Amino acid sequence: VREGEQPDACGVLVSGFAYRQKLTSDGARQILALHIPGEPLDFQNLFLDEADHNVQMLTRGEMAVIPREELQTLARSRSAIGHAILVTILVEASIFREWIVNVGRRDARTRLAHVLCEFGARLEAQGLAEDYGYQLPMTQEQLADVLGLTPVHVNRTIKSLEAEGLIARKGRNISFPNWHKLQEAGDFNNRYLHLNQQAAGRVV
Amino acid sequence: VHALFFHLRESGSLVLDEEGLDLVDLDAVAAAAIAGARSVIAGEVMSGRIPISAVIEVDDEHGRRVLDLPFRDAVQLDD
Repeated sequence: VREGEQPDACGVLVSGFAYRQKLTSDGARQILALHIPGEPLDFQNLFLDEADHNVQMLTRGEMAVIPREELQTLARSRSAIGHAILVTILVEASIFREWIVNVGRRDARTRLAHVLCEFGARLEAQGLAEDYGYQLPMTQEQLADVLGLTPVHVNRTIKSLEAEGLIARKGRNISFPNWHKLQEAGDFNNRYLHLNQQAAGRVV
Repeated sequence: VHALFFHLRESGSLVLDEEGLDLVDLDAVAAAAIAGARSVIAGEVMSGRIPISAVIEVDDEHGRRVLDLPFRDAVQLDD
């Protein structure tokens, strides 16, 4: 999805990871959201006619593409599907709210710990994590654009979480020797993810 | 395009950058180092501390030093 274009289809991530981003006029990038396999990428534009930001793949992956008009018809004719789409959009909005708090009010250590917790909790809910360990699909540069920091600052913050024993890394593999403490460090409470409600939505 | 590694020497210890950044020239290296230093200072200053003695040491993929950027060169101190 590209800013300014009129989307004619909705993608659902089958495998791989994607992200939403916006650029400032002088070229600084802010990553607004991360998407994991199983998540729809563009319910945002199901009823809005012009994309207001970009959605890109973070890694290689596969996407199922549903024509926009047919999905609109389905959402109108089958109320359970309309409901599930609405729940998904509301949860996305809730995550955006949490990210505003994260970037606006948390320090670098808390900010990074929070994003690592969220990613772990969402992967776990989709059955994609192994005991709260996962492959971090992002470079330090991309992580910096998620957190509103710089790669140097991200590296320093990762190393400090590692030194504290809150995370352990082997290449891109990251695991959490003390999940409870990491949640505390990240000021993380999964309430805003509405995981039960999302699971109910997925059954439809 | 070259892979550059931005290590951080701070309070007697070295934070190694194992991942690196792909950058096109020395200007881009200097810009990334300055932005990195300012970002760390900005974060620390909110807790009342300015790590002014830290240095960013940039190495290329062969481990050759490309740039030393003392934090004090990344900011102007107005007394």
